[in-house]
Amino acid sequence: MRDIKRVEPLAVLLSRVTIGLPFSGAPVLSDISLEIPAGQWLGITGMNGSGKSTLLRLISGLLLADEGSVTINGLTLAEDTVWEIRKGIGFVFASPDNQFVGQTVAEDIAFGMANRCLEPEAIRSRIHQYAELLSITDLLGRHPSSLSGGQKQRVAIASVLAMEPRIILFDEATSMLDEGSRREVLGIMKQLHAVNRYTLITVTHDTDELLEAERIIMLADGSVIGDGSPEELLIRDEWRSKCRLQTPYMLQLCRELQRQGIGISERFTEEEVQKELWAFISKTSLTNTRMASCSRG
Amino acid sequence: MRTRMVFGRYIDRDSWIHRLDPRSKMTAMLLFMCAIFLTDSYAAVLVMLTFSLFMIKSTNIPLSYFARAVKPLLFIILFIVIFHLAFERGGARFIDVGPFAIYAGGLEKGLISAARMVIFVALAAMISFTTEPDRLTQGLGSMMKPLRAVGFHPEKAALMVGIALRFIPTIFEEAERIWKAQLSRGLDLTGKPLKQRARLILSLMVPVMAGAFRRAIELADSMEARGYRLGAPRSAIHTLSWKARDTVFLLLFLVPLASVVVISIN
Amino acid sequence: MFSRLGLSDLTVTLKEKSFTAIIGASGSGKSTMLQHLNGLLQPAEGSLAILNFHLGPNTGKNGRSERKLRARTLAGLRKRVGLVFQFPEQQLFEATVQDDLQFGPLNFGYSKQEAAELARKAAALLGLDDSLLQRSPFELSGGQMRKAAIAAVLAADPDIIVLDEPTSGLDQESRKELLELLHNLSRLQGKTIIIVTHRLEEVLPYADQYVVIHHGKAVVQGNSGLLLRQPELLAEAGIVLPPSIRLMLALSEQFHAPLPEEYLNPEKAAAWIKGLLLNNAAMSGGDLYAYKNGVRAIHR
Repeated sequence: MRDIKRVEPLAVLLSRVTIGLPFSGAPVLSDISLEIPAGQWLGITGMNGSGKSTLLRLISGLLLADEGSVTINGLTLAEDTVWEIRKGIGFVFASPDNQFVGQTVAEDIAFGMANRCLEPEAIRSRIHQYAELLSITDLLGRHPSSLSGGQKQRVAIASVLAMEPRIILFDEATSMLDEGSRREVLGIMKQLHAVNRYTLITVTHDTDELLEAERIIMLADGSVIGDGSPEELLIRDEWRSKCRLQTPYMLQLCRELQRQGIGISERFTEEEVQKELWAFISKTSLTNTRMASCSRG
Repeated sequence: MRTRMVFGRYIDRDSWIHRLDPRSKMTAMLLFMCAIFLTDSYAAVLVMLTFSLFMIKSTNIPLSYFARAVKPLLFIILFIVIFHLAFERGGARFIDVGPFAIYAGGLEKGLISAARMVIFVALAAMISFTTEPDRLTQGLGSMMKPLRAVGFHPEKAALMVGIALRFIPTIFEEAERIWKAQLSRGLDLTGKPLKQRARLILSLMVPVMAGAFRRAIELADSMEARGYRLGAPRSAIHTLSWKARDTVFLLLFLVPLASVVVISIN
Repeated sequence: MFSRLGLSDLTVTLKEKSFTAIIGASGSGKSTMLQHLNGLLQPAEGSLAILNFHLGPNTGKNGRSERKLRARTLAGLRKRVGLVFQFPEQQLFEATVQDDLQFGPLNFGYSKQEAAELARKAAALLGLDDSLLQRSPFELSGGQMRKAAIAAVLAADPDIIVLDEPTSGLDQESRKELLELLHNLSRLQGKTIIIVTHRLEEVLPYADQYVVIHHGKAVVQGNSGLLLRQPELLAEAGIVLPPSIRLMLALSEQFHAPLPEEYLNPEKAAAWIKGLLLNNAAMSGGDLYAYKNGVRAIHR
């Protein structure tokens, strides 16, 4: 293999962005700089009012910055470029109901493509392509009021994918779903990341969703207080509490085990904790066997 | 609530009527309305009924669906019949019921009005049963195109109608939930003076309105994020194309119209 | 097509002063059940006994006197059973928080003064500052609105409080705070709390009774130990097993050790795991090979 460092192009570049509330002008985000390489899965967390959603709205051009510049896929965001930039960005919102425009699933998936004046044949073929991908082909003729929240979020994702964006934003897209549907949507995000074609930016309060991301940033009072891998950020108690995240059960358990004399590292998922425990057992039982054989000898 | 709303529901079957251009169906409906308007004798009713049954048969949708579409109107239809029976005094006197007398003319008018209503509703249901809602709104937009000359935007109007139809059930559900929440907090309108009742009901509209606004704002964001731009050209899933069968379908509707006119003149 | 029945042949007995979690995936019928608890929906068959109120099947063909009796029963029932719907903040409607909080007590026949006092008490229980009471509900933050809406139900001083997904849409810390508060209400104030949720994980530390609903039937009913012992039933009912339970199940299987009596908090779980490890060490390392295979099997 040739050893060439590939320089990833930037999907998003924010430089010194400040934006205030519409009337009072109180800063929602102040002096934020951020680089998101193409293909990355970035998780964003922070307490309510910390500016998470504002950040996504800035990236999609639903809001324009008061100061600083926003560059998306190499284009700088301004009044006249916003429509061009939006072609490369998909936005999945929190409410399954309020982002459903069409009277049927098919019509909703078509909405964005119709806005781009795609040919009807192209629209229809993409509807089927992406409906199949998200296993909603059976639902294409249904009215939204006969769908579950999870099904509606699938439709929302299909309608975004059908526009073939390079960046997909998820604004707490799983927060209003039941646990089963939440897992399903999280599974879809993982698949999207795995195909390596999309930059994913997900805003969430969920620890397991954050753990799936490659990198997370923590926002508090309109500034980035932490930027790094999910594990290294989430392990810090003071940062977690600034984002109003709880200590995950497994982390608490690891700390309790340590306190009770079982020296395993701090982990977040039960698979990892199990691995740690096995490593611990094999270490100790080897010593045990060795000790046993010593005493015999 | 959803199950009760049969009207305005698309029923996916394979029939030539399903495949028609929505514009031909809507124009046909206009012709049919004229014919209904001119129906004023048993003979005319017979023609209209036969024609409607033929149309309904062609949709491959069971008659029971149409019956369910008519059902909510049963009360009004009954009222119309009784009204005619009670107040029309033409033709031979049939029977006396207390102070009222029933005349053949009253019976005829009552039955004909009822039949007109049933036939019209059934055929209107046929359009909504055989046309996907988005094609219907698209057809509507396309038919209103001539109005552009007077500053009307048919595409915007069609989208608006579509969104309204999409959100009506949602907002009704929300209102129902809010109502139930207040009931469980002891709200009891019985025995309260009318003025107080009106005030309470009005104040309960506040959260419903707030909810509708919240939905509207979020919907607007989602539409804009998907590239919707007010007044910009858009395409659609379907291309509306007027085929020979649409012309034939439209001409078919001239048959009942002509028959009714002839019957009415004679 | 799905059956139109929300619930079928459901039999549930809930103890007074308990903290009960009703668990079910969406569409399981849990919201239907909850609306029966204060008579917003009435059974088509079977009967309902809540506190000392009895509701038989509503056939819709009752006579006038029977209807009156039913109306009186319902009014009494609703006074003692408070129902908090999902996203309750969307139902606030009065001009001030104070007015909204008083709405229930006034409806139930308390005097203006009593109602004001009850409203203040309820606000205090939920940690709402007095200064918020004179504000419009629409000026509060999302979390405050949620608390105000729950206080509005608490203000009528019900004995039983039923909540439909009270934590949905809140951040993790607020969810925990709210559950702790409800837990205290049952522990310290003797209220019966019934929570409907699909997140088993967040009620595990608090609930002492569980009902798992699937297709309108109660498939599991009992304490957390019973849940631990019937993971297949939970999975079938569309409930995601929380990591804590998954770990306990996996460890108990690998160590051939009995499951804990009930759900363990991290501290107790650590002690339990330590016990397993010590026991294992006592058996010496002879089975090491088998254990390693065990690990592989689990992670496959």
